[in-house]
Amino acid sequence: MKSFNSSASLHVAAEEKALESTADLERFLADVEQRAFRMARFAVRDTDDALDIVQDAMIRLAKGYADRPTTEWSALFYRILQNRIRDHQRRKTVRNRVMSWMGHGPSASSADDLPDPVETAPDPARDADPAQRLMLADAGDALERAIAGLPRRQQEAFLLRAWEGMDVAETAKAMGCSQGSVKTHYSRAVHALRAQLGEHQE
Amino acid sequence: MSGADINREGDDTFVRQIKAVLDEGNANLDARVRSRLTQARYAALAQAGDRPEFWLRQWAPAAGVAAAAVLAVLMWPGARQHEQPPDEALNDLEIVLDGENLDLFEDLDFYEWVDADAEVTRI
Repeated sequence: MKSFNSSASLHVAAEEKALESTADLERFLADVEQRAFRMARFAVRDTDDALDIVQDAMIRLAKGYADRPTTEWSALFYRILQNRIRDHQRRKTVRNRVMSWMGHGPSASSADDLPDPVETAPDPARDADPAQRLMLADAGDALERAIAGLPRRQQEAFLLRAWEGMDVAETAKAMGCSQGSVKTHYSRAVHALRAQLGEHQE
Repeated sequence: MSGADINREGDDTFVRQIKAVLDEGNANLDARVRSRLTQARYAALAQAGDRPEFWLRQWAPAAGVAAAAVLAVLMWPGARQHEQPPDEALNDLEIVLDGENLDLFEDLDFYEWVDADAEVTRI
């Protein structure tokens, strides 16, 4: 009887621990979901695609890595997210190529030949009429445009370091590159953003 | 303070400003996006709950402790007092493992009666 009682209490304790782990995962996902969504949207520039990518990343983390230490979740989640973003962009490139071959759209000879986002990003000073310029005076709007215009790796490094608050080592894990590359991408991103947003700061 | 330090400090201030603007942007996400993110989170949590390893990981320590507790109870000196002598225990085990013998023990009353009847006949 005694051992039955202790077994029952162990059962309850294990159940409580499982619930606690689920609660940890929920807290983690709730904490990162909005930033992750906006990072995905900066990269793919489409709300629904960004939502699909975030959902996919969340499910992959939960299915594949929920039993890993909670301290590893952040780097793992963003690694998955960046991979999903890259997959999405590759698929989009292929789709565009097929459409172009069929005479329906733009073409790119390879993923690496995608037009430089900095070059193609809308430049408020160049493109906007006075009314639009007034609208773009909003700092948030200008910032989003500037970030969306960064090359992909700079964008990743900047957002993970500056917004997600990861250190260089963690960012390198999430991006799957060396710490030196992270520093380079981050530094270039900061300078590009300063150059573009300088007038908003003053 | 060197020029590099001034630059770094300027960058830090700039990055802090950007972070504040980005954080503010989260508050402006529309209801549809928030709702989709919540649904995505619950879908992910459901998947985590379905994983056998996820639950196994939760249960493994408890199962280990339970097994140790059972062993401790079995090995406890007080528990040994109620043990049967080893020979009897082995006999019981043989009975349990042997289906035919089990039938015999189920019909023990009948065999006792046959035995008694045979003795009466002999007398």
